[in-house]
Amino acid sequence: MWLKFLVVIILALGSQAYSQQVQPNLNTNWLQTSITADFIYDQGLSSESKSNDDFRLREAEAYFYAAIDPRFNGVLSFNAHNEGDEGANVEIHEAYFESSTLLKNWELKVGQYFLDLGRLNRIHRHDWSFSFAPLVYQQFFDREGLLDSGIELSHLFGSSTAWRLTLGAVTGKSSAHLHGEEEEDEEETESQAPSAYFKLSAFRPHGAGGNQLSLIGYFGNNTELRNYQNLGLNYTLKRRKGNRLVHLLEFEGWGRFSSVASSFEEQGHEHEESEAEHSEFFELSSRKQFGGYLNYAYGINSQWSIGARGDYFQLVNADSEDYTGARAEIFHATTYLTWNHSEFFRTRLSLSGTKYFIDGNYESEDYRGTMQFVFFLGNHPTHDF
Amino acid sequence: MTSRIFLSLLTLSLSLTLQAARLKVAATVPEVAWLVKQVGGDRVEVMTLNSGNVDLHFLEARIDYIVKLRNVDALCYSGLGLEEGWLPKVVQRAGNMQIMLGKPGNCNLGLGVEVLNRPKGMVDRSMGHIHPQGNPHYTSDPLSMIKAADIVKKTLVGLKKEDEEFFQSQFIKLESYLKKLHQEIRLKLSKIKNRKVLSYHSEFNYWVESYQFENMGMLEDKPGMPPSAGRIAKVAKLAKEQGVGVILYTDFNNHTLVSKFQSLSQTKMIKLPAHAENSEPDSYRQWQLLMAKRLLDEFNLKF
Repeated sequence: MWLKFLVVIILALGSQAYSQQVQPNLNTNWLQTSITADFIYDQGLSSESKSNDDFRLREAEAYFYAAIDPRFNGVLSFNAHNEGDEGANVEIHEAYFESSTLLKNWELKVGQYFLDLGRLNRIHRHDWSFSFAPLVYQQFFDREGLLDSGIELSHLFGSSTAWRLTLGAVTGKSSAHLHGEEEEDEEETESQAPSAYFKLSAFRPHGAGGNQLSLIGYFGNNTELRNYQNLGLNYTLKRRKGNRLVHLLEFEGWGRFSSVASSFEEQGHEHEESEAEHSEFFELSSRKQFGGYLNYAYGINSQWSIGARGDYFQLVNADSEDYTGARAEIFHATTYLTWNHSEFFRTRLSLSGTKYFIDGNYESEDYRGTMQFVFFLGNHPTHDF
Repeated sequence: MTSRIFLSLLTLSLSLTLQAARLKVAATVPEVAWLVKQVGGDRVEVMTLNSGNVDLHFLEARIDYIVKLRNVDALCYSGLGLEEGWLPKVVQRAGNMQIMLGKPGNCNLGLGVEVLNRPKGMVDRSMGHIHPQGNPHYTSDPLSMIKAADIVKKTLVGLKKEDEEFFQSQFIKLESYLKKLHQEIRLKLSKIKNRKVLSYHSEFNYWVESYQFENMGMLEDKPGMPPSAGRIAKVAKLAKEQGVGVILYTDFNNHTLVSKFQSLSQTKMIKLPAHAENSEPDSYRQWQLLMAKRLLDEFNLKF
C-alpha cells in the first residue's frame, strides 16, 4: 500500500516538473504541492500502559492545491496511515472545490473535506501543537478529525470584530473517519446518516495575534446513535512577537446527547485494543457525554516552546452489565517540549498520563512518553490562525 | 430651520459622493499605506492591515484580514515573497476579483524595485528561508520607495484613469520629497559613512547600502535560521579583525544571540524598527530620522 502512495507522489511531482520544463521562463503556479511525514515513537511508562512501544511512520500525506479557473480552487490530498502489521492504508482524504467569488461575501466548499467544527478539526493533525487528539476529539470526531462529503457555506462580516458563520450539510457516510478492514464494515453500517452543522466565530485581532471564540453545533442521525446533537464551544488566544508565538491558549468543550447510548472508543493512541485492560470502563455506555481540554503553550524563542494540556471526559449515567447510572470519568494530562528547527521540520517530546475512574473509584492508569518528528516538503505552508 | 436641514443634507450628500468617488486601498504595513496616501492624496481611502510592530513573514491568514479585503479596490503589498505565508490565502478567501493576482487592483510593489540579494542558480531549503525573488526588505530605503511608488501610481491610474494627471503630479512631489529626505539623512550619516555594518538578518541591506555603509552581511548563517554558537564565534572573530562597527537588529531577532555576539565582538548593538510606526504624513520621515539618530547616538555624534 505504501507503493500506491509513492506512485501518487511521483505522478504529481512528475506532472509539475513537466509543466515547469515546458515553460521554463514563466513563473507558473499550476499546482502547489506539499508532502508531510509524521513519525511517532511512544513508550509505555506504567505497567498497564497500552502504548505501542515502537517507532513508526504514523502517516504520510500528499497535498495538492491550485486554482482551477478564475472562480474555483481545488484541493486533493492523499493520506497513507500506518495500520501496523496490515501495512499502510492509502486513501483520499480531501477532494473538494471551493469558491469565494461565486456568491458575494460567501465562501462555498463542495466535496469531501474536514468539517469546520471545533478548533482542531480543520487543522491537519501534524500541525497541532500536541501529538495526539484530546479525549473529547477521540470520542466525537475520531483521532484525526471528522471528514465527510457535502457542502459548506461560510459568511464573513463585521469590522473591528470579524464574524464568520459557517453552515454545512454532509452525507454522514464517512463521518466516522476510521481505518482498517473491521472499521470499514462499521462504516457500512453507518451509511445514510446525514448531518448538519453550524459554527459562529468572533475574532478580535491583537497585534500580530488575536482572540477567537466559537459556538458550534453538529446534528445528525445514524444507525449507531440514532438522533444525536453535539454542542461545542471553543476559545483560542494567540500572542505573537515576530516569528515567536509567545502565548497560545486553546480551550474546547463539547457535549453529546444521543438517542442510543455509546461507549468510549479508545482510538487515540492507535493500538490494538486489548480486552484485558480497562475492560470495565470500556463496557460502559451512555447517551450523555461531555468533555473538553485546555491547552497552553509558551514560546521560549522562535524555535523552542513548552506546553501542557489537561483533558476531562465523562460518560453521564453510564450503564453496563455491572453498573447502572454510573459516572465514568477520564482525566488526562500531557506536557510537551517542541523544537521547530525551521518552519518545515519539527520535533516534539511529550509525557502523558491518563486515569480512569468509575463513580470516583480508580480503575486504571496509563503513562507514556512520546517522541514525534514531522517534516514538510514542497510549497510554503499557509500560516493559519 | 428648514434651510439648516437642507444645508446639512447637502453637506452629507456631498461628503457621501466624495467618499464614493475615493478609491479604497488596503496596505499590509504602515509605510506602504503611507506611500499610497502620498500618491493617492485625497482621491484614496487607505487602510493598514497591520501596525508597524509585526514581522510580515510570520503573520497568519486571519479572518479580519479577509473581511477587510472584501470591498477594497486595491491591495498594495511588499511582494518578493515576504507575505507568502498568509497573503495569498487571504486574497483567495476574500473573493474580491479586483485584487486577485493579475487583476488591476493587485499592487505588488516589489515588481518595481531594483532587488538586492537575488539568488543565482538553483534554490532549495538547504539554503535556509531564502526568498528566490530576492531581498524583500526594501521599504527602509527612500530610493527604493520611489520605484515602489511608481507601481502605486500605475495601479491607481489603472483603476481611475480620469485622475491620471493628479496621481502623476502627486508622484512627482513624492519623488522629490523622498530624494530630499534621502539627501538629508545621507548628509547626517556622512560622518560615519563607509563604516562596516553587520545585520542579524537581511532587513536593513537596502538602507545600509543606500547610506553608503559597508555591508558586512548577516549574523545568521542562513536566512531565517538562528546562528549557532560556532557561527556567532566565527563572525565575532571576523568582526573584530575587520573592525565591524555595529550590528543592526530588530525587535523580532533573538536578543540573547545578538548580546552574545556583542560580548564576543565588542561591536555596538543597535536596535532599529523594522517598519514605520504608522501612516501619518510625517511617519516615513520620522522612521528614517529615528534610524539615523540611533546610529549617530551610538557613535556619540551629534544628530
